[in-house]
Parts: sequence; structure tokens; C-alpha cells
Amino acid sequence: MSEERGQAPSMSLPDALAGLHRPSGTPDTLYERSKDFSKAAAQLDDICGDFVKLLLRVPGPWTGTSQSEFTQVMTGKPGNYRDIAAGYRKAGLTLKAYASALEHAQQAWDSSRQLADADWHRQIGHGIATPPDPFSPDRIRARRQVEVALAKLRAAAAHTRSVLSSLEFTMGKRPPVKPEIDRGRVAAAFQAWDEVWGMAKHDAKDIWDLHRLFVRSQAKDAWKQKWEDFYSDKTGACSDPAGYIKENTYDAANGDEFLAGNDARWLAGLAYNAVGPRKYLDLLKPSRKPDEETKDKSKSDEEKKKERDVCHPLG
Amino acid sequence: MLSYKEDPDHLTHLANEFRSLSRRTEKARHAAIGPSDFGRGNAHDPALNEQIDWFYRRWVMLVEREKQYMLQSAENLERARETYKLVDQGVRKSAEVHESRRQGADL
Repeated sequence: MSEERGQAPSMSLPDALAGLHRPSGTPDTLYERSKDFSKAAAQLDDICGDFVKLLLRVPGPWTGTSQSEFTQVMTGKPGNYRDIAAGYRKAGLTLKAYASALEHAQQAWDSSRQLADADWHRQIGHGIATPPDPFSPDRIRARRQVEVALAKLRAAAAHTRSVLSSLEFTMGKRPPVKPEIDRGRVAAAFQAWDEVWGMAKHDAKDIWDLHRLFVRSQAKDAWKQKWEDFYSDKTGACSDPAGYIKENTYDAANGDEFLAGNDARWLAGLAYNAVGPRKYLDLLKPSRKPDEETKDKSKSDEEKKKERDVCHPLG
Repeated sequence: MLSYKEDPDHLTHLANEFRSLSRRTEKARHAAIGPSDFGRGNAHDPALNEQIDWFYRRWVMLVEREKQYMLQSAENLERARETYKLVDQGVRKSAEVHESRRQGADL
């Protein structure tokens, strides 16, 4: 609606809701998100309960040092589930409250819009010659209703942010924000690599095979490009790749680099941790073609023979 | 100290239980992720959207870590079970050899 409504300047009436905007957002989706969090919290609580019961059954016929050590290590683990569930529950309730405030604000805006429009039609729309009243009760009520709802929404948003920040605070410093480029694709790749990491983190060979597979794959995607950037940086610009990587290696398990979107560094750290500095330095060297490899192999065999002859002339 | 009195099947049972908990944790993770994979900015405030996004990503990772821990525990239990089984077989074999030798000596 335009700011000025009316047929003649003398009959003009400014918009009752001028300067106020309908809040954007989708409360339904937020409600769904809240339900998801609550559902996850309930499931995690169930798992926590069953985990505690399972730990009570651990001793049984299993006795000895290993059993007591296992039980000791596992004792605090159900608490993690309980904490995560509590976090999800808290976040779910907060999001629900915010969604309710957002829904209310949008409804308040819609009903106020109708009220203000009806007032405009009553005063000017029918061409009645009486001077319009900019402070009519309906106009004031409409504006007041929206102002109150928007103030409540701002308060709810601030509260939600504070609750979510406090939950995040328990996880330590937030990593730097990654750029928005290829966000959806990278998110999917995060998920995939998360799985890979989970599967292979205890097996250096597996992780390295996957790593090599990834590096050699022909797919030109954001991940490969990032790896190539990293790779060229290390091999070209850096005189001491192993030292550089060691300096920049972090605990891959904490996932900060992973979350920050520094995928290449994350992968490098993973590989470095998996195979160790010496092996990693070897693997950083450009891979050779099969022909060259065989040539080199034959050469090296001949050289070895010569060396053996020299070393063992009698043999 | 390993003992042939220990029951390796108990460890298999425990490993299965841990695997089951790991699967359930994965289900809980999927429940937390919800139907949409990404782009959950549905609040009116961009800063709040960002906060929700961070919460989502970091807490899902927490659940993932617990799941992996469970899986790893199950694998460790299975490894322990294999070790116990081998030792158990070794102890039985030794006992049999010892018994046969004793019988031979008696004869």
C-alpha cells in the first residue's frame, strides 16, 4: 500500500502501518525443526537409559583387568548422551517459542493490515466529504498491535540467540565462518566425508586409499579444486612441506577445520595423522606414470644388481 | 590376565548391543537432521538464522561422534572376543596334550 492514500490532497490519509514491515520467515518450518530436535532428544535419552543398563550387564562372565578398564572408560559415556539430549530439548523448546512469536507477529500484522484497510475504506474509500481522521481508534489500534507483536518478536529472537549461543559455548570457540560458495554441495560433501572419517579413522591404510582415490578422481568439483590448490601450494611454494603441514596440523577429531570449511587442510591433517610425517612427505611427491614407474623399477633393479656385484664380488 | 573360564560369547553379545546402540544413535542423528538437508534459515532475523545453522551443524557432529564411539567399542569387543577365543583354544589344546602325555606315561 502506498504511503499516501486518497483521491485529493485534502482527503489524503497516510498508511496506518507506515514504516512497519511484515516479518519474514516460516513458522511452520521452525515448528518442524523444533519437533525434530525434541524427537532426537527423546531418542537420545532412551539410548542413554539403555546404555546405562548395558553397562550394568558388562561384568557378567567377563572378568579381569580388561573388563574393569572397559567399564571404567565407559562409565562417563552415557552422560554425553544425556547432555546432548538436554541441549536438543532446550534448543527445541526455544525454537518453538520463537516460532510461536513469529507466527503471532505475522498474524498480528495481517489482522492489523485488514483493520487499517477497513478504516481507510470507511474514511476515504467511499468518497465521503468529511475530513479524514489520522488518529482514528482503529488506525491507532492496528499500529499498536503490530508494534507490540514486533517488539515481542525481537525479544524472542534475542532470547533464542542467547540460548543457542550458550549451548554452542559449551563446544568451545566457533571456527571462522566459511564463504557461501557451493554451500549446499559442500554440505553434502561434509556429510559424506563425515561418514568416511568415521569409518576409516582407525585404519591408516583405508583412509589413505580413500584419500588417494579422492585426489585421483576425475570429478572436477569444489573439493577437488580445493585439494589441488592445497597440493600446488605445498609442492610449489613451500620449501618444507612436511614442516608446513606439521605446523598447520590440528587435531582432526575436533572437527574445527572441518566445520570451518577448510576442507583441504582438514584432509591434509587427517592424512598426516594417519600415515605420519615421513610417509606423508613421500606421498606428497607427484605421482609417476606407470611407464616411468616400471622404467625406474627396472633401472633400480639393474642398479641394485651392480651394487650387489660391487658389494659381493665373490658372490 | 586371560582365563579360559571367560566366556567369549558374552563379548559377542556385548558387541551386538553396542552396535545396536550405534544404529539407534544414527537414527537419532537423522531425526535431528530432519527432512531437509540444509538451508534451515527460516527465522526473520539473519543473525538468528546463522545461530540456528551453527547449532544444527555442531550438535549433529556431537551425535556423530557418539555413534562412532559406540561402533568403535563394538569393534574392540569383537577383537577382544577373538583373542579370548584363541587363548581358550590354546588352553584346551594344552590341557589335551598334557592329558594324553599323562595317560601315555601311566601306560
